[in-house]
This record gives sequence, structure tokens and C-alpha cells, in this order.
Amino acid sequence: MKRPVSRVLRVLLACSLAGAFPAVGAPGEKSAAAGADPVAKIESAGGAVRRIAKGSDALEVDFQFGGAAVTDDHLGVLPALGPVQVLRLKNTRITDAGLAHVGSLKGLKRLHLDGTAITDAGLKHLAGLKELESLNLFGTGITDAGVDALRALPKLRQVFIWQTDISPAAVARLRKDAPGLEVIPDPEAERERAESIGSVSKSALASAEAALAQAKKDVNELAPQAAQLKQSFEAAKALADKAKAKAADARKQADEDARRIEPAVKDAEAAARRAAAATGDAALAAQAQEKARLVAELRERAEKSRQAGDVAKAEDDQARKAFDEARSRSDKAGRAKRVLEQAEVAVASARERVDAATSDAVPLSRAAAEPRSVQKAISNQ
Amino acid sequence: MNDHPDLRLSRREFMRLSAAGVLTGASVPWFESLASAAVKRPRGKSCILLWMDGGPSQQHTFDPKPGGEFKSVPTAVPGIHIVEQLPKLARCMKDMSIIRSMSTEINDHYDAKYYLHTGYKRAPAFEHPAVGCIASSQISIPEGDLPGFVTIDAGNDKGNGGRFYRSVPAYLGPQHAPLAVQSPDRGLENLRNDSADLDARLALLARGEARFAEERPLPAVAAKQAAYERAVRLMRSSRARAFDLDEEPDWLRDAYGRHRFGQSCLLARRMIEAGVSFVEVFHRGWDDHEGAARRIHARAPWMDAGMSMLIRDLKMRGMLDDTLVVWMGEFGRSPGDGGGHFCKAWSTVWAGGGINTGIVVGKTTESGKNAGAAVEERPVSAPDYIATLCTVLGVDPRQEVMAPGNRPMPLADKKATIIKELIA
Repeated sequence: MKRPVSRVLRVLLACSLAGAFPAVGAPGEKSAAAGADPVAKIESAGGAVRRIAKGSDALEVDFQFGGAAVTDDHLGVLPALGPVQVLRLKNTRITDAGLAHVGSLKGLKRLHLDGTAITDAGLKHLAGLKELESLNLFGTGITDAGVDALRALPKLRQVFIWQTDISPAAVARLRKDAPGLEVIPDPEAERERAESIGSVSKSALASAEAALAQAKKDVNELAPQAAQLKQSFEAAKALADKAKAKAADARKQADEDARRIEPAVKDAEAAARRAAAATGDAALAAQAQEKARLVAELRERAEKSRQAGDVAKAEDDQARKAFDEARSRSDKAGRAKRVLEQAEVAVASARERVDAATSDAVPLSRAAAEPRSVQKAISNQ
Repeated sequence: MNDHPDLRLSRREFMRLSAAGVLTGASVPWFESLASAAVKRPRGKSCILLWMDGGPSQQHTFDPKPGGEFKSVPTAVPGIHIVEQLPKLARCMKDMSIIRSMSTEINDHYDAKYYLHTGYKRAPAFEHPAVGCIASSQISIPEGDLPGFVTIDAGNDKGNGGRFYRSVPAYLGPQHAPLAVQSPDRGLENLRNDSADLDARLALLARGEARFAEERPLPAVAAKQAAYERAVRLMRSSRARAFDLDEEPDWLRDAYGRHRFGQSCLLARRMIEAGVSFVEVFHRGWDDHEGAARRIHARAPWMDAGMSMLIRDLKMRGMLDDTLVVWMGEFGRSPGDGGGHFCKAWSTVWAGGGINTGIVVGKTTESGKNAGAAVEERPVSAPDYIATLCTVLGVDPRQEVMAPGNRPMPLADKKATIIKELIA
């Protein structure tokens, strides 16, 4: 039951939205006015129109998979569409002329012009986009001259300039003039990044090498004694086992002796009471005395066996410690080769990282980023 | 309709998300397409899943422990530490988030791979669609030249790690099965169209196929036909160039690392640029029963280079906000040397996609001999993970699809709770 109900709700929602923003066009409206419908025009070039979110009238127009089919002509319908907040024109065939239409989308927040043929002249059309937050110029021919146009955009927070002709000096100036603006990639940040990776990699290599030296030492010094260490470890184990048994016996004896005190005390107290009741009965008095002596004797014995137990426990602890040490040395000797192998892998990996620390310091400008075939052609001359 | 309170985002929340601005609210879920007839691409997001098959050790990567085998070092985000073996990723931390509290019940390779790919536990005589197929069915360009879902084999270290899981679209339809690239270097070499009389031969084939399908209307026949039609469409498309890494400059291929994993990451970026919605790059052999340290020492350099360059490349092209990158395996490794399977407390890493980044979600135990043996805060289940991934991609995880036996199945298990920390 749930599914049909939710579908009905969705259709109702869609209808109510369409009523509120008739310019956008609702499902099914296409056939009625195919030529004039901006959504149909956009879709005919492989584009798509979506709402940014449910309950919002803001639109996203996505041409990024339309490619060469998308031209300046398709941008003409945008102003009639409604409040466009996001416009994706990546890798389309639009030009500077088309940006005149884009410049009239006053609510535009995010604009993708990456991989298009736009130039510095085209960027001037964007001066009125006071809401623009993000601008993608990746892989375009924008130069330092185009950077000036960016200063006119008060809310711009993010600009993508990889593989353009913008110089590091222009980026530095822009960063100074617009401190809230993130320039991606930022040559300065890239340099810091490479430095940090380099220094972390170097210090990791140093500690890996230190660990390797220790591992080598263990292999040289401990490993040859492995058999001997194993023997002494086994001997220590036998001693420890013996000490443990002895400590357990002593403990048991001490407990047993301690347990015997209480009944003897009671017995002695009863005898004392009887002797006190029958004053003058010498036999009873002698009996009470004897029982009191027995209690004293038991107490003494219990104290002795408790002391013996403590001694045995101390011996056991010592034997256990000796055993643990022997075991750890023996283990270390046994594992030394494996640890060394691992330390060698760790050093190799750390060295690889030091060598590759700058392997991802990629060229930032378009000229330096020419593809392989072109580079080859040049280097062969 | 909203009887799953944890998944529900109120109208007010939606308004708040969109009011947050286009940059910060880039992850606003559930776009509504205004397409009149054939929806071109209902949503603008895509995903690259970096699958470390066999179960990578969290304490040797993104959740180091004091006294552990790998040293923990600071990242670009103050307070977040990862192992020193991943210095390039450490510098990408502002663009990544770590979930350290995955807790997923299953310690068996194949069942766990199934669970973490579908969000459902394996059941007899029932197949659930894999997350890549879900993305293909929900956000890819229908009838596009390229498939919605591509898998790339980034090779393997060693043989074990259990039976390999292959993504299955199940009841979403055969057109959402992944296109499998066997090696990033070879691309689609078998799909090159060199034959002059290809059209005539294909027409002949189509006639035979049509007759066969008419006589035997079986799912398997439909699946084969779907795969075939797609292959032909792709072969004729200029977009097939996306599979050719030779179009990339040498310096960029070097930056990604000259390893199959790095090159697979680069190919994945090309796929996303060409319009593929979901790419799964898998590297097999992370089942380190003899201890994770030694193996991860050897893997760290290429993993660090490939994954960090993918994140940076996407970022510098302005694609990162729309492309979610997820790093994970089917579970983690046992505390200490990482010798055992461990589903109780492990890590995944998410980058881009418009999610909140530079944060750590969840926490595992820090001290004691068995540090990391339990989740201390915010456990994340397999259904939670799938539901969150769907939401980030703009897909409503509650949406139901009719499964065999007239059984409406939600894309993610109804028990799922979205990881709200990651979403606006």
C-alpha cells in the first residue's frame, strides 16, 4: 500500500511546484510547446535541468555531458528558465559571446566553464554576477588579464585555475587582494605541501633506518645464540614451574594452618569457661591451660608457614621474571630474522616515499601541462 | 510515507540545506529533475569506490594506536592522526573524512563482501543489487553510450582473501550490470572497431538474437542482449576514448604512480568525466593473516600516491564536490598485528562528494593491550553505510524497487540510520 500512496504524493508535489513556477514546465508539457520550451531546448543538446533541492525553486542546468552539441545558442534560453544557481558548461562549444547570456543570470552561484574556448574578454560579461561563489576555469586559455575580472565578483570564494595561463605572480596578487578567495591550485600551498611530504618522508626514513640497524644488531648478536637462549629459556621455565609449585604448596599449607586456629581458639575459650565455673577443679584448670598452649602453638606455626609462603612467592616471582626475560630474549633471537626482513621492507618503502615525495608536484600552467605526444615531439628534435 | 524517522529529512532541513549555499550545501540530497520526457541525468553526483579486497588493517592505515606497529603522525587537520606511511593522504585530510566505527557483524570474506556491497545479508534464493548497480539504476544517464557502472581490476598481491564478489544488479535489471575492465593499461582493447563490415554483421546477429529472445523470454537472454547492445553502442561512441590512458600526459600518469592501482584511479577519473556514475576499483590481497605490517609497508607507497592524486586531481579540476571517493574493504583486521579478520571496529575513508570533510566519525578504544578492539562511539552498520552513500549521491535510500515475488524492497534496509555527521 505504501508505494502507490507515496507516488501519488510525489505527483501532487510535482504538480504544485509546476503551478508555482510555470516558466519551468512540468512533466508532459513538452509536447504542447516543444519549440518554445527552454527545458526541451536544453535537453535536445544533451543537457538536464534539475531543482537544487526539494522545496527550492533554484535550478541547476547541466550541460557537461552535452559536449560539442552545446553552443552559445543554447545559452540564450537560460534567462527565461527561472532562477539558475548552478550552470555546468564543461567541455561544451560555447564562446565568449555566449557568456553575455550567462552574465544576466543574476542569482548564479556556481559556474563551470572548464574545458571551453572562453578567453579573458568573455570573463568581462560576468562582472554583474554578484552572487557567484564558485567559478571553474580549469583548462581554459584565461591569462593574468582575466584575473582582473574576478575582482569584480564580491562573493567569489573558490576559483579553479589549473592548466590555465594564469601566472603564480597573478595568483599571489589575487590572494592578497581577496583573502577569502580560495585559488585551486594555489602554487604557494602546493609548495608547502611538497615540503611537508618531503620532510615527513625523510624523518620516517631515518627512524626506519634506525630500526633496521637494531634489527641487524639483533640478528648478529642474538640470533647465533638462539639455540642456547632457547635452552636457558627452557631451563628457566623448569625453574619457574618448580618455584610456582612450591609457592602453591606453601600457600596451601599456610591456609590450612591458619584455618586450624579458629576452632582451637573456640575450644580453648570453652575450656576456660568450664574451669572458671568450677573453681578449684585442678583437672579442668590444667585442661584449659593445655588448650591455651595449643592455640599459641598453632598461631606460631601459622605465622611460620605464612612467612615460608611469602618467601616461596618471592622466589616464584623472581623465577617468573627470569623466565619472562629468557623467553623474550629467546623470542627476539628466534624472530630476529623476520624482524630484519620487515625492517628491510620498511626501509625500502620509506626510501620509495622519499624518492617519490615530489612525484605529484604537477605542472600548474597549461603550457607546462602539454600531453605526452607533444612533449615527445619536442624532445626528439 | 515517512515511517522511518532516522532517514527522514524534514522540509525545514531541506530548506536549511539549500540555504546553506551552493558550496557548503553541495550535498543536498534528492535532486528533482525537471526533465520532460527521457530524464538525461537525474542527479549530478558520481562515486569512485576503492575496494581493498580481503580486509585492510585499520591500525596500519587510518586508525593508528599508541604502541602500535606503525607510528601515528599529524595530518593537515589538527587533531587527526594517521600512520606515517601515508604522507600524501595526510596532506589531503581536509578533503577526507574517516569513519572509525564501522561495526558490521560478519567476519567471513564472501558474506561480508556481499553485505558491504548491498547493505543486506546474504539470503538463500534471493539476490540483492550491489551499490554500483543501484547508482547505475538511479543516477546514470539512461541509454547513454557509456555504462552507468564500471569495475576496474587493479591487480592483486597474493591469492587469498576469499571468493571474489561480483556486483550483480539483481532485480534492477541487466542493463545495470557493471562493465568490467580487466586492466587499466589495456582499457577496452577488445572493443576496438576495426572491421569494415561490422554493421552488416551486427544486423545479422540482431535478427538472430531477436528471434531467439522471442522464443525464449528469459532474464538471462535479456541480460546478454543488454550487455551486447551496450558494447556495440560503446564501440561506436567517441566516448570510448575515455578508456584510453595514453591520452593522459606522462607527468600525470607518473603522479598517480606507475602501479596498476594508481593507473586504475586515473582511469576511474576519466570514466567519471565521461559520464559513468559509479566506478569500483578493486585491489585484491589485503587478507594479511601473517600480520599486516610488512605487507602494508610495501603497499603504502602506491596506495598513498594513487588515492591522494585521485583526490587532488578531482579537486583541481573542480570535480571533487560532485564525486564521492570511498576507500574500504569488507572488514578490518584484528587489533595488534592485524592477523585476523575483524568486523567489530574498523575504518572507511570518504572524500569529496560534497560531504563534510576534515572530520573523524566514531571512535575505537584507545588504550590497553587490545586497543581498538571495540567501538567506543557511534557504531556504523553496513545498512547505515549504504543508506548514507545513497543519500550523498542524491538517491533516496527508502525508495522501493519491486523484487521477485512482488516484494517491494527499499534500496537500503529500513533499519538504516544515515551518518548525519557527513551530511551538511
